Amino acid sequence: VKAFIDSRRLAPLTRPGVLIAVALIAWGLKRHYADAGTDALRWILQPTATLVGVVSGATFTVAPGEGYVSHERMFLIEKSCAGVNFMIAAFAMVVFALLARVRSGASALSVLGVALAAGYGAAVLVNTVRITAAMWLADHPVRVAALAPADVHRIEGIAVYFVGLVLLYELVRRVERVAPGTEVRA
Amino acid sequence: MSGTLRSALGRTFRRAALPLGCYYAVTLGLPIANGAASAGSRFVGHALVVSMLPPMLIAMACTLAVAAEALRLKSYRALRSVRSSWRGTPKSGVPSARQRTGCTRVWRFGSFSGSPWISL
Repeated sequence: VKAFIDSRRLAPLTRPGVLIAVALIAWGLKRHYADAGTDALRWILQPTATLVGVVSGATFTVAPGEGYVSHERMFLIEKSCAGVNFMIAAFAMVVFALLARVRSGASALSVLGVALAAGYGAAVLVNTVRITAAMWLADHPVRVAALAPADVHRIEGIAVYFVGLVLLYELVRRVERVAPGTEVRA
Repeated sequence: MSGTLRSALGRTFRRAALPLGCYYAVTLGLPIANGAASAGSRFVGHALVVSMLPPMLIAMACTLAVAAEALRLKSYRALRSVRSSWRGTPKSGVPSARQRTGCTRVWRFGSFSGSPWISL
């Protein structure tokens, strides 16, 4: 306990510890995502389906073992729409962005907690945008000679996920600049 | 490519390095670590799209931002030259009527004494 309280001395050890924790959490999330069925991913699919319903006006109901289905729009939010990979990327990115704040065990835990919460929130929001855009594209198909509808859907997914990551990074940088305890830059 | 665009591109890519690295790590690094590379041409096609699209998005956004800034600067200069022809604004940006001079004539309230010119 004394070592934890006086953990400023442990700063050189804390950052590698945080990186190991990031790797373990990312691996755990990936493992869970690979093994879990749709029902076990309810923690991320349900808020996403609810938000997509609010934004698009569609009604999603639970289809056990399949995901969340909108019968009137003929659209299914399934396991591959969960956005767990995005959550892992966002979580790791936020930890790296805030790594300079890690000076003690407590700050390491808070950075990991903030990064997990930010990754989860960003995953739900960005997934909502991606699924809503996919629903719009399904209703208004884009005709590009060289691209199949599946390619358009994939490109839309890559663009939305990457832009979402960049926006989250900019948000973290902005918060980092104005947050107390850090040097305010002009 | 103009120097402005080149430096803006360099700046933007440096700024987006962390999101780009995390994105590649999850979309390319993890599947490769899981043995997806053995899927052959299907994975190569996917990897090509995944690796090419984000830098293209950055370059497009940067080019648009530089073009918008150049347009804004151009319109600002055009507006300023029109204003200067109307009001006689010098190139320094300070209207000549408001430029400070060594002394300015002012009205003194109360009894007049001395010169009406005071130094500012």
